[in-house]
Amino acid sequence: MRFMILVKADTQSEAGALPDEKILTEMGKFNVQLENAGVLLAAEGLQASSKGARVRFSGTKRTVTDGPFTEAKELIAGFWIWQVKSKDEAIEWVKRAPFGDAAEIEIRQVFEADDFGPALKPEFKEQEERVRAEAAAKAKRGR
Amino acid sequence: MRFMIMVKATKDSVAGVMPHEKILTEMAKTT
Repeated sequence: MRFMILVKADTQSEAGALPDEKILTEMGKFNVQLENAGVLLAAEGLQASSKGARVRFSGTKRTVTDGPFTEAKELIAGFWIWQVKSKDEAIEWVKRAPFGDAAEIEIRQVFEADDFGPALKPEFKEQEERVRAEAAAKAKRGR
Repeated sequence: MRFMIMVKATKDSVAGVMPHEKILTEMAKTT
């Protein structure tokens, strides 16, 4: 099963402050451990919300609001996607992550195609698998 | 540049209500 591990934004990340060398080194080590354990599927950091936008849907109307967004605690500053055998395994990995005081990390299970049941028709399931595999290959080439 | 597009939760998604066949089909449409 897959889990998304969400790292919350804080005033520093929202101010665009870059992580220092020590943090980058520690995170790099942690990511190598994840990779060696076959857990790591994706790891990304997100730029401050000032570089983003929101699109609100209302009927046929689309309203675009540029960042920054003010509720820092609700914002995400980075994420991993992990392949693990249980939520407990994900929790154990999160506990070992090199975060400082007051960090709060959220763990969310990722839907698998089978979770949707009969509402996802078999032909679309195959198509989705193909499209995702292509996207993953593209992401790999891009590195 | 790359962007992450986040879809907010709704009452239904928080309650674990599965998306309709109609929505899944529209998301999967190729044109």
